[in-house]
Amino acid sequence: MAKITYEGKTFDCAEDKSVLECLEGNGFKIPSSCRAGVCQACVMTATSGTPCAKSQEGLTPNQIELNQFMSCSCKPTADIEVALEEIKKAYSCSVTEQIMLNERTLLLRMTVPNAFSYKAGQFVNVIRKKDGLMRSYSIASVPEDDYIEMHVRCYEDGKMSSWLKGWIEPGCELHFTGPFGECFYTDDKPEADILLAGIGTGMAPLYGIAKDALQKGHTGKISIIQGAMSEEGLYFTKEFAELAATADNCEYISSTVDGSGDGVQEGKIDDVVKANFPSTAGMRVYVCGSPNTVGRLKKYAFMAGASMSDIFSDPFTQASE
Amino acid sequence: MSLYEKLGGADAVNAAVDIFYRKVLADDRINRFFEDVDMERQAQKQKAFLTMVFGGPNNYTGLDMRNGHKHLVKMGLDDSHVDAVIELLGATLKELGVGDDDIGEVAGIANSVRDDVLDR
Ligand SMILES: Cc1cc2nc3c(=O)[nH]c(=O)nc-3n(C[C@H](O)[C@H](O)[C@H](O)COP(=O)(O)OP(=O)(O)OC[C@H]3O[C@@H](n4cnc5c(N)ncnc54)[C@H](O)[C@@H]3O)c2cc1C
Ligand code: HEM
Ligand code: FES
Repeated sequence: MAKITYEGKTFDCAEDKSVLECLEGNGFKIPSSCRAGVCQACVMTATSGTPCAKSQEGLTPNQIELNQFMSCSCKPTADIEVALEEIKKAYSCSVTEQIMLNERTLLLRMTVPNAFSYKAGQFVNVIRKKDGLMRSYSIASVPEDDYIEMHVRCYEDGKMSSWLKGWIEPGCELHFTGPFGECFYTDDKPEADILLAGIGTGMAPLYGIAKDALQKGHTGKISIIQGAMSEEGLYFTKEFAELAATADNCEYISSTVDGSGDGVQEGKIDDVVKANFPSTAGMRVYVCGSPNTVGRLKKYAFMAGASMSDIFSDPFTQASE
Repeated sequence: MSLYEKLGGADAVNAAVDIFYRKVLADDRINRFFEDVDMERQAQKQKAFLTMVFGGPNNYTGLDMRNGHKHLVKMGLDDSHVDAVIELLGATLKELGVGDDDIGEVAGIANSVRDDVLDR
């Protein structure tokens, strides 16, 4: 059985337990959210020993160099000494806007903390200070904006989202770590056509990425496809249409499963993507939203010709406690 | 020159991975084994697989192959599936213009771990 050393004490780690579970079992409170190796809330540093390869998938080369790993995804097979990394600095900012975009989508705008830099489409982990609750939210703004914007899907029994909706107002302080994630625009293929497809608040990072691509003078065609069950599920349609109208090479398509809404294409997002892009060869593809939809769209984009290295995604994996 | 270098090293792996993986996912004989695995993670593993069968640098032991495929053996993995993988590998290399001799050598490396992969 592998042993884990943390804060000067050593613990046995049962074979099927992760570093996170073992430390929690011994009474420590380690930040976590998705428990699936996506959100990086649980990142720790291995001060001696080697973290499992799986727990470093998706981390930057820099993080790997520092021996950081996601403690929820490492079931150690050899002894390891770990620390909660100090560099995971929390930024604080002040909320400037808090409005509902539709029945269930909350827009938050906040000031950009000092020394915080990010790429459009990355995400941050918002922390509720009083109890350490942590959830991931993607950034819908671009670094040139003088605010940070997030879109939060509100769940009635959602711990973080109902707190943000009910308790946060302009002037409040908010804390987060980050930025994280590899789903962002890069300007190495300015002539490639880009497809951005999403549902729900998956549109938040896509908005930022599209805006970023346009600002960086992308010359290939940029197509944004939003999907929802019905008209009520669509949001930000005016903003997307306005963004698309700023450039000849940008189009915005909204779609609903039941066909409701002005000028929408009817059908499930999968089918709408297929109908508009029977081939994705040579394209850059970005997909964001619920993990199932993201998984299906990614697979389609790949099978229809896009290279694996040209497909970027953020599955919004739900937190699990 | 090693087979790996002759095929083109890491660049050959990168060129082959999309083609090979697309064939795997489209092949009803074997795609069920790949359904649960996240695509990006799987792409990394495909690269590991290709590097290995191209005779390139890798740290896998027979035991790793055994442990790495055990859950698939439980799902019914057998010789016919290994044959299918080797067939798709050959078709991929052909598409990339690799000669028959080299394809034969790649198939030979894949075959050499057959018993480990099938845990017998
Ligand atoms: C990389 C990443 C980026 C993300 N970006 C965003 C973003 O930009 N905007 C955004 O709104 N969310 C985003 N999420 C999801 C977000 O982190 C939270 O999971 C979500 O806000 C729910 O948190 P909560 O505390 O409100 O609900 P929780 O307290 O975690 O959940 C309580 C209940 O809410 C319901 N619920 C929660 N999530 C879902 C779901 N996905 N589907 C159905 N029911 C659900 C369930 O009934 C659940 O039991 C992202 C997640 C990841 C991993
Ligand atoms: C022919 C010889 C084979 C070799 C040399 C080989 C090699 C490999 C390697 C190197 C990995 C990555 C291991 C890791 O890093 O975790 C892997 C994983 C995998 N292989 Fe194979 N493989 C072979 C045959 C097969 C066959 C026949 C199938 C199924 C039809 C298969 C299905 C898989 C799957 C699904 C994974 C990922 C498992 C996971 O979820 O981690 N392999 N293989
Ligand atoms: S990555 Fe470990 S909790 Fe999300």
